[in-house]
Amino acid sequence: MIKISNLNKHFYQGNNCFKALENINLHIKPQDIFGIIGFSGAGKSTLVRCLNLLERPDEGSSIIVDNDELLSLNEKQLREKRSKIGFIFQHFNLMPSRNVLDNVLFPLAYKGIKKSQRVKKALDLLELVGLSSKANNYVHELSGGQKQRVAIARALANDPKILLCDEATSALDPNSTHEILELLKTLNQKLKLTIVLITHELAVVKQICNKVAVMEHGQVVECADVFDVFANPSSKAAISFINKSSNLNKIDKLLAKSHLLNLQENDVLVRLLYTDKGISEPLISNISHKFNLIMNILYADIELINNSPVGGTVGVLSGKQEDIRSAIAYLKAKNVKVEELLHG
Amino acid sequence: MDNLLIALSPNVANKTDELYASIYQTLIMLLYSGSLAFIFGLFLGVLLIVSKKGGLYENAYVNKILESIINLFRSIPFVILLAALIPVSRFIVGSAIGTTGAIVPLVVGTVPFFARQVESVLAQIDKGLIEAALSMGCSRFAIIFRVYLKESIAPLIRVVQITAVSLLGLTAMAGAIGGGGLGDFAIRYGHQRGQTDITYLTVVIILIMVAIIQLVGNLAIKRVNHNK
Ligand SMILES: Nc1ncnc2c1ncn2[C@@H]1O[C@H](COP(=O)(O)OP(=O)(O)O)[C@@H](O)[C@H]1O
Ligand SMILES: [Mg+2]
Repeated sequence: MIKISNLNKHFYQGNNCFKALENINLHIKPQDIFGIIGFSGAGKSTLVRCLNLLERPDEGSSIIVDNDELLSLNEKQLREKRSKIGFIFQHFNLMPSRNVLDNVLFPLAYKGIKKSQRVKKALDLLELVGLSSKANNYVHELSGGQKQRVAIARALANDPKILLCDEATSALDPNSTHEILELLKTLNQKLKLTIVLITHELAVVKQICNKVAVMEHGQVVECADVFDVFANPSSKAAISFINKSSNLNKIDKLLAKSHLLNLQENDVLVRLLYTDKGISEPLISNISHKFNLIMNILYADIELINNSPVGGTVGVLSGKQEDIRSAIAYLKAKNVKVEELLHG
Repeated sequence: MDNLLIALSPNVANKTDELYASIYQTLIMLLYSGSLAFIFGLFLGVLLIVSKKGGLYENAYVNKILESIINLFRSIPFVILLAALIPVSRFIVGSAIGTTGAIVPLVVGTVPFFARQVESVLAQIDKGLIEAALSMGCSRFAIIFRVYLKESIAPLIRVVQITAVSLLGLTAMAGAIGGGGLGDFAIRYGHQRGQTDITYLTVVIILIMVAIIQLVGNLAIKRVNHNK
């Protein structure tokens, strides 16, 4: 659906040249919900704005959207193309002098569509995003979540196959964020919409993306299925995102005051990380039975990502030394990553 | 009406017709030069915005020239402009004096002022709105009307209002080249013949005109303003 090859982008500020994007290659498939995550300044917005040429990349870049090379379109073709690529923004960018209905009608005007049909289309879209009752309200009368719904309806007016979202939920409270993401998920399924979603929040990626690219300093440092990135992050940026959102690292603070843990002889403090899709057996309870151990769980952080559990547990294993050894070997055989943090 | 005027200003008794003619001339100057200044000023204001760095039709050359011309004309005092433009007036409207002759300097004196204000109003438009329109496939030309102007209607009315009041002031000065109008009337009778009551009468009439401009403008703004 979207194929980005060799994408570079420089900005010139006076005589300074700043490389905002460096050799980006990405392939986004139809109906993907493709997340692009990175810290502020990583180049995410620049990248997504290149996908409808709001920002023009350097010579030699290639962006193929739905079989068309964007960089070889003329102005008129590009306008046509843009109307087939929805774009929503962090700050909504709705027209304040127009009411909700007129905002949704905006992209439908001057296209040779009859007025009555345009209005019907706009009302249908408002229904789709759950805002029928607000058609005659003005933008300043809406909450953030409602504004983003209007923006989504507007972006969908010309039946695009692709929706680009630049931090679409970053200005929203957690509730509205959740609702908007669920709406996007529904649209992805109902309309077979391909969604590219820029964010600096891991939770957003977790909630709806199937693929994710991690960006740092203008480069894509990691790109894979969301589960794989969570289970086996390889880039510094990804690891730092995941660590920040997990509570398993609280143990590191506790380790500094290890007397508080009060480990007995032979006890081992372990961190278990589940890195394999489809673990369904109750591992901890299994090892306690099999090896006659007790595991005292201190922290656990396990989430379902695309229906597979990912995350881990921190706890103290108590039992005979050789049993603990065997248990750890058993877990490793099950593809659980085992870190022995402290021995009693 | 006449009686009311005479009660206010005894000296106007034998020249009410002349007073009405002056009011008419003032209104004509206001209307004609106002309309022309509106069109040119709006055009130049838009041109200033779109030719700016980062604008829709970025063009440093055009922008620089426009900036210089506008600054130049803004710095010329209006009375001097009146005199300096006499040959131009004669060439364009065939007369350098009278109400018609005053129109050229009035337009030239008002356009830079108005264009600057239009520019500053349009500069307030959130860049995000332009980007949103572009991303929906809107053409640059359409964005000028559908975003820049449409989204600025209320503040544009406000600057039209301000410009109209300042133009009203300029029409009074145009009396200096025989432009007629209330300014001329006040100078000829009120000032030169010492009939101070006439001066005050014209002040009252001009105040009423200003009040009408304010009122109409405010009503119009109230009608179009939805974002406050
Ligand atoms: N128009 C511009 N001119 C110069 N530098 C820019 C411009 N837009 C973005 N940048 C720079 O490019 C880098 C990436 O910006 P951006 O894509 O907005 O990052 P992100 O969206 O990941 O926070 C930043 O360092 C920013 O300062
Ligand atoms: Mg950004």
